Amino acid sequence: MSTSAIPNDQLERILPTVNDLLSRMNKVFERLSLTTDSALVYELARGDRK
Amino acid sequence: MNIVEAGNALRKRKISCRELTDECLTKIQDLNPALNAFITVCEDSARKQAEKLDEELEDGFDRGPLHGIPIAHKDLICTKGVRTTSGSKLFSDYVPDYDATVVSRLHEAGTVMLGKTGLHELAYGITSNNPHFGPVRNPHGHDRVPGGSSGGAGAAVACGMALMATGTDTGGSIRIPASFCGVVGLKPTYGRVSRYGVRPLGLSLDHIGPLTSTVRDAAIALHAMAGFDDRDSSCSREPVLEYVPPSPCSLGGVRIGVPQNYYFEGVAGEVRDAVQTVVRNTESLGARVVSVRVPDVEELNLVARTILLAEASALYEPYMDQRASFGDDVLALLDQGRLVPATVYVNAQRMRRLLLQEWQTICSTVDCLITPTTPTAAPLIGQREMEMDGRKIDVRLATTRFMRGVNALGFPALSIPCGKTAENLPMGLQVIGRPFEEDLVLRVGAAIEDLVL
Repeated sequence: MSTSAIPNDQLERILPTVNDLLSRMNKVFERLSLTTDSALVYELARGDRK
Repeated sequence: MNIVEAGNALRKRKISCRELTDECLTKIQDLNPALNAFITVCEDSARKQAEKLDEELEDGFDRGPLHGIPIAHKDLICTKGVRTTSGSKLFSDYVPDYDATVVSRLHEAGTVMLGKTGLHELAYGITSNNPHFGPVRNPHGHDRVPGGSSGGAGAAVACGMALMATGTDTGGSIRIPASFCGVVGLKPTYGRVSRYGVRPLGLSLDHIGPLTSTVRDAAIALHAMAGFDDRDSSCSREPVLEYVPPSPCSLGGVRIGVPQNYYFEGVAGEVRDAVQTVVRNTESLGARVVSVRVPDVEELNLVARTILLAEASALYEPYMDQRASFGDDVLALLDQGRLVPATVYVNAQRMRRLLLQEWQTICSTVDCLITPTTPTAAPLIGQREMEMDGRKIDVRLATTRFMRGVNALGFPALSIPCGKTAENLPMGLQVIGRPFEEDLVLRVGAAIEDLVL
């Protein structure tokens, strides 16, 4: 798998957008508690998984 | 002619499958040079398939309402022996050796495949302004985008080049072109239609559905496309229902929720008025209109956007050393996703669970929600910003704000036309339902369609 770096000029262009998104997400995450499960938990008990 | 009308004409022998296919191929020949809705047209195989289906009807073998109906597939859905580009330079020569599940199901239902429709590169965008295959243009104004990512599908159905087209929807990619092109687009519940053989973009957000010219046609198409498939681990065993609404269609006892917050803010006046007029008129069909406050949609959209950035970048990481193969906008999004930490992705999936629980509470008080599909009609090709309530906003973020979150919830959502602007451009409204209640969503849609037409 490639791990090629993001060129600096591209980083400069996209970082403000990414930083804005991450800071807004951090605010959103304040509502999470220890017991909040993930939407991606593998649900063996569901009828769908027969 | 729509699917129901074509089916009636075929069974009364007023037209043959071959003639119906020829009509569509003629329209493609006449209109596609200007609209660029198709990347590949399969003239010879379509005619042969249509003739075979005519013979079957002559022999008394009728495959049902899609027998002999000419359709098109979005060009990221695998078709055996037919090039499937995903609108990408990376896959411009890719010829699959198998059919996606939706392709084989629609084939078994008797459809005729006319070809493959154009899309936003890798389905990662809302304009279908494709740098490798050229822009798809809106039939209602050639200087306008058809929406995306299933832009070719929307344009093809809007001008009768195909009676139905498949689309995919990760953040609005069926409903946006439906709204901008004036056709019907259905994003079913997550897991209702198999994703097997469809190039993924966001594994936990991708949905497959039909674009058609009427709601009843969408119901017919969904019935053929839906159902369990053990090759897609997200595919549901929920039974496939009878989706085609009766005619005329009553809404007696149906509680239609109209959001007081978010969905009617930052919307063009014409769109807001058109949707609100339709909502009021549903009461004449027996519906009960209920004002509701929905949970924070901006929060839901942020969660969906974060999940998509990470999931799309994970899928395309192996190709990131071929940067020149991507268009600028898609490359920027893929690079953005590479900067989303794993912790943020996991917490976004946890927020998604929390928000889903909050939205399910709303679902216990109403049977569906009605909102605008897009806040405006189709923007111009190349337009990056639009003005809304005196503020300039990014076209992509504005266009997806009423639908991106619905992909994170996985709820079914239908876009149907609800009139035209003063510039004669189509406007759409969205019916959002509870999981696996496509039958109710389609019933509400058909009733509204009967009112609007």
